[in-house]
Amino acid sequence: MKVLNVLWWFVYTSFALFLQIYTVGVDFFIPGIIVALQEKRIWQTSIVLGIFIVIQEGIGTMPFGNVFLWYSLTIIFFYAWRWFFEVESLMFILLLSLALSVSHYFIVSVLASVQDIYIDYNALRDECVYQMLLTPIIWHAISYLRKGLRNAQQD
Amino acid sequence: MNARRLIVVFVLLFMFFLAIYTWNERTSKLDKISTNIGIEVVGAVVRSVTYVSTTVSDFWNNYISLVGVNEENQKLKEELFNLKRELASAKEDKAELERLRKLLSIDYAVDWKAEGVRILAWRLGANDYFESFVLSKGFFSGSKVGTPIVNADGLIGRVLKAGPYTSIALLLTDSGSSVSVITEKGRVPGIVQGNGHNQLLSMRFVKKSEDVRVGELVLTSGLDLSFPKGIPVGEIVSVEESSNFMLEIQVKPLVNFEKLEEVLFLQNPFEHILPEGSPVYSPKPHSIFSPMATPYLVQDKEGDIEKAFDEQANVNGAN
Repeated sequence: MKVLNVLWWFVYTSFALFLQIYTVGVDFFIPGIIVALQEKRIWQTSIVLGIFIVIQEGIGTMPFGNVFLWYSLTIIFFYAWRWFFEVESLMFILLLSLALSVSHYFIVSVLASVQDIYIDYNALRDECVYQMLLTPIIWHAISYLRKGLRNAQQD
Repeated sequence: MNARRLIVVFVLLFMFFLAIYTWNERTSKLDKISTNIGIEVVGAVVRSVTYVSTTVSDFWNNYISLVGVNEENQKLKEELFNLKRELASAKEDKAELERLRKLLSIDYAVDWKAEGVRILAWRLGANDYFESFVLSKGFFSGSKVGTPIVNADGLIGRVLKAGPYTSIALLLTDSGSSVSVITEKGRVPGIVQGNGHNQLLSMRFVKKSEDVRVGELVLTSGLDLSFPKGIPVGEIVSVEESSNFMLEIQVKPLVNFEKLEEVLFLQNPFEHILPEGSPVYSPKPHSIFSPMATPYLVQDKEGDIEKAFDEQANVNGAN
């Protein structure tokens, strides 16, 4: 059962990276982190988060820290939003992706100015909008697949 | 999780972030670890995808779709004939150039070794804000931070991050790219800087009195020790006088960045004995008086800089 779960995350990671090649500026690991948080398995979430941070920081061109801060905020927003909405509801995921996109814009802007890096703010804004629109769609698809995996494990 | 716990978690995470961020700024250890792992994971995924798509397309092209092969073969034969003729002429030119160089006792440029490399992917993920691409060779194949990247048309950029088998390159067009250059005919030195995606390059720090003309080629000067001398960078498309004592020059890159597939690394054989070249990413100055860009220039309150230039010119003239 564990092997199937590991295999599932491996395929998801590869697929997310593949999508990132063709969709500039969008992080396809975010929906996976939300799903991992929803499943409330602390070891799984920690390992997945660790791997995703190392990969995204590695392929990124900015100095280390940007992705770590953003993924940390994902956890904070996830638990804060849980007070108001059901974690599997559409409103929850829509507001969470909105908060994550806004926080992404804010983090990148602040760190870019701290590190004296020129950023095209129009492109950054567009990428945050794509992130906001794509996160619920990908989240919905992988939640469906995870349910299928859980059912297969139970059978 | 209640509100107090959430705030505590947030504060702890933020403090942890500040700790690792400052530690990494000092040591760059996290950057190195994440670069070696992250780039290689991406490289492996992209290589697998490329392998599958190449195999499928090769099978299609070689066995199923053979329409127009004969016609293409004829065209290639003609092209080969023309190229052979051009090569013969170029060989003669080269021999002549060598003879003239000997006569004039000009120092030869150091032989930079070229290594072919394929582009695996362009800008990747939500943490990549530079004009960049991923390359199929890493430090095991001679790629190092700062290694120049060129193709037959001219300069493309430099290696920004190098993993074992994969690297990330910073393009010439990125706002953080700067290259020491010289104009082809007037031999006027300057610094070419990128201005972002699909934008023209700027040639900076050229005095108004210099002879710079539209249509002239701009070449690497080799003065910054980062590039071999004489690589074409771009063509000057506009020269305007600015409000200060410098020219505003726009340069169009010779390379078509949209159509790149394979490029060349240039490896300096004497790199280990040379002093370090300029940094790969250098923040763009907000003005030519930016202290970061030109530490030796200060605010020109009473025309002191212009006077200094004039004095220098007089001294040079006297000599």
